[in-house]
Amino acid sequence: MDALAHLAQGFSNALQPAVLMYGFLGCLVGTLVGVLPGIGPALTIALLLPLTFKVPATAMFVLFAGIYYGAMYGGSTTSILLNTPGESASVMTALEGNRMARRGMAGPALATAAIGSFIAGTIGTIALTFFSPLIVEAALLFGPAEYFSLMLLALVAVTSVLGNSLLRGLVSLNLGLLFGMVGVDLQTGQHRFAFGQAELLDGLEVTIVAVGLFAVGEAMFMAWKGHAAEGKVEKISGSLWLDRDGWRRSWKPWLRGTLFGFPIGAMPAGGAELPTLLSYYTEKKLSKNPEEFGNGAIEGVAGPEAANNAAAAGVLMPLLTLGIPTSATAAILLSAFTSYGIAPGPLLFQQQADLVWTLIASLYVGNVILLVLNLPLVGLWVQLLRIPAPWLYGGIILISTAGVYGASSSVFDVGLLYAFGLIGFVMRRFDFPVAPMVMGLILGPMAEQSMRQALTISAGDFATFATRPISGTILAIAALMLIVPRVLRSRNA
Amino acid sequence: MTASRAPLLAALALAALAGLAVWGAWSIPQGPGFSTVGPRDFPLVLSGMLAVFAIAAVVQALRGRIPDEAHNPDEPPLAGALARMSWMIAGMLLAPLGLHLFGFFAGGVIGFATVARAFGARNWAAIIGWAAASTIVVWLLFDKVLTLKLGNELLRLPF
Amino acid sequence: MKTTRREFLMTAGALGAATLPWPAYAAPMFDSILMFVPAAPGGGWDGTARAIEQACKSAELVGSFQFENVGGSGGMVGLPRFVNQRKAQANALMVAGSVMIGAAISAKSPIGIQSVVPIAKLTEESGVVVVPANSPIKSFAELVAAFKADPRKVPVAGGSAGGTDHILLGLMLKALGRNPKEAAYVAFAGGGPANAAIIGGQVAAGISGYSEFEEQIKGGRMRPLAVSGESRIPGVSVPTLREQGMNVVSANWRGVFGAPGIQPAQRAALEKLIAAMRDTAGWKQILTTRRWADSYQAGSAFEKYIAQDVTDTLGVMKDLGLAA
Repeated sequence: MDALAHLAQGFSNALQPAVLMYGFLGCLVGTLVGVLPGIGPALTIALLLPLTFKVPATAMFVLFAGIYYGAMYGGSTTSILLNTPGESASVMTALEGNRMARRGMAGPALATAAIGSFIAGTIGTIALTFFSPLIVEAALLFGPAEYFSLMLLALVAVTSVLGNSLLRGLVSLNLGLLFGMVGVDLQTGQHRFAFGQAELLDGLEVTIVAVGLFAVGEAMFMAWKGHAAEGKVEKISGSLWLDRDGWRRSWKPWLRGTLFGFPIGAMPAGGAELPTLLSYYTEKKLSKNPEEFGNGAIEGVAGPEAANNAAAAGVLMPLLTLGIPTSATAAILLSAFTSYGIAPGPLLFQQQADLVWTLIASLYVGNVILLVLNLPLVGLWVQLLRIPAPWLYGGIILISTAGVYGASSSVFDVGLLYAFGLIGFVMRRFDFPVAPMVMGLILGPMAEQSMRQALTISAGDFATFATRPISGTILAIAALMLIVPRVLRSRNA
Repeated sequence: MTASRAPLLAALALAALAGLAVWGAWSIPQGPGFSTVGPRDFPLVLSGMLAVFAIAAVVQALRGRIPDEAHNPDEPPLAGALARMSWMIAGMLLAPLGLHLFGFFAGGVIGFATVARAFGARNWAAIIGWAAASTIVVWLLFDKVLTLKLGNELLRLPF
Repeated sequence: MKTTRREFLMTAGALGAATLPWPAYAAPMFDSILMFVPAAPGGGWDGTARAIEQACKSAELVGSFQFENVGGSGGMVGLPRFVNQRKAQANALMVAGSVMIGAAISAKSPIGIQSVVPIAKLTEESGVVVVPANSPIKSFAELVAAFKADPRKVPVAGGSAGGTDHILLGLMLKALGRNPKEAAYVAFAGGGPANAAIIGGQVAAGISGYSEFEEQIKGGRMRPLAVSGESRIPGVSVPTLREQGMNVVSANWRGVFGAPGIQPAQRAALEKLIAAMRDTAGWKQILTTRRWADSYQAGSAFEKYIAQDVTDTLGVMKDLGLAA
């Protein structure tokens, strides 16, 4: 099979010592930032973006892939031992894993998380290997009309996972879409929302917004709450491996979690939160002792962790084949491609075959490295959790500032970073979800530009979106997604 | 439960932002060519939608339906939140100023120190020590190892 | 596989070289040069700047180079900064080119390319007009016929609005007696999406710098119909627009500029440096490997060229409705 030949070539690249070194470095950094609360993979990759000109593309993406997967592994350690989920997808892990740790079963919890992550990550990567070439073939038929319909589908999907309040979710999304309009319009060169600032003409940098909202905003929120110093790190108790019973209870949740994770992660705006939730509730429902859930059920760690990592692999599929990011981290990865002058999309597999397949091969390799890094060395990572909060958050602000300033040498951008930090704080305080804003920032301009490109091509005829078969089908799916849940809900009510 | 005033203020700020957006969208020239959808249309629609949402948010806030973490029953902020926030805000105003006037070292130390103070560090000698050390490490890492530019006249560094 | 390893070795080598002090045997013409690039690292201007550094260093014309990249908006973020912060600085050079002229016009900026001191034009890249390989349009004449019939039915893909690709389309339509405002110009961000749209037959034609389409043309997925330069691209058998009866010439040029307020003697010194740089073997080597056309021009000839280019660009942009 074609994919296998490419993959073999990819492996021979990925196993070269130099590439392997970047992969290892990425896994190390990824685990590190995953373990540290408040820094996620999106932030880390955003901060390393300015490096893109110093390092060849392949090495850089192998590094990023390691960070991306590594953060997923590291995040579970923090969730289990500190009850502070490093990112939203680890909330479920924190729920059960931290209970297990308090009951003296931190070891098995860490083990099922790491092994489950390994299995799900590997299966997810296999799926990525074999499905991507198929999607690429279909995607070559996509024109601006199809992309617009896809964006619309993605936006509809985002609204369906907006969090506690539809209104507050929509506000966040809408603000993101508006922020995406800032700068010179691609189609006509008109200035929009620049208010006379030359720095705004290129639009709001996704990395600045994301780092501001996530890192700076989180730091402000934590400072305001004042609880950061109180976190209690659980001891690593119990054996760091699974006993017979552990294996017996874990393997099905792993596989089910993977089944939720990959396809949902691959869907526009699917993300990793939804599959972890689904996996958690499925395991609870299927469990013979549901009363264990909430008190440290191993299934409740195994399933969501697997779902989380499979989703991470799934997210890469639309990113690489269509150039569409479905999570904040994917959005940052997209900027990384852009800064190399490489456009992810169907042509990526043809023009940058070496890069793509080395990247995919490095994901397999990374999973193995991460399993080794995370299980035996977990004690080392735990030490990081003991850094006092003032130095930890001081360092986070320092690194965020250095990353933004180093990229542009612009004090204006640093001011912008802090301004978005303040926005992030206000949103956290009043329970506005932050992620939709970042998604809006990415999807907004993409949707607008493809719509207007399609209209120029069709000489102004709006029917093009419905009459082109692929575009029409996608629009129909989007309409169904919008209508069906509401009909079902009104029936149930 | 009486509605706290803070969510209302946030909703009003949002409304002001929406107003700014509508005005900003209105002042975009419609541009050349024969395009059916011009550069102004998306911003206009989006800012209009935001204005509607903002009004809805104001109404919700008046009805006390926007939660405020300040009144979170499980985990309310510890006393002294205002002082901690003041340190954060002060840092965010002073760090860019220091960065602009004296280069990365000044900006970095100010940023680190104010945040550390906001997170409860009290000993200024320790704060300044950690801030200076971390800033130098970050500078060495970013500027020397990763060769990013943290200012051409690094020499605003005092050594 | 081999390329990857070579890339790594090159990086390692570059890193090593960067840390070694440069041994200066003969007295260099300049102890140090501040190279200001009003674009992010990695693009065409940055590549030109790094190439100048490489050529100067290999011939020991300059002691050391310092780089400052301020990217954004066709140079309109960096240019004001260069003008304000480097005023009268005798050893400051800025790389810029035709893109900046269009950007300044559409930004309605009071600071434009006329605010800096022209030193020399260095390179030029020709544009190319292509159609998808399976397009019913087989020749340039057929494309012209389609344009003459109704430009709005012939969507053309290219880079951002007001850029060199868009301007070339405007010039072509004007030459055909059509209103450039009728152009069905589909702007894409970056070469990748534009390539995909052309190959996939989503648009009727595409315009871009030759290097952007080179791979697809060689792979037989795009059919080149014409190049926009004064003469054909060496080694490429695509005829120019002029050869095919359309009196349109346009190319994306790049050159270097000095800081405003430098003395005539200081300007002459910079011109001498660039002239010497152009004669180095290193520079000639770079021109061949990167397929840059040498379009060296300095002094009053270059000044006149710029003035003419600004007038022409302003005219087309007015025709396209991008400038008042």
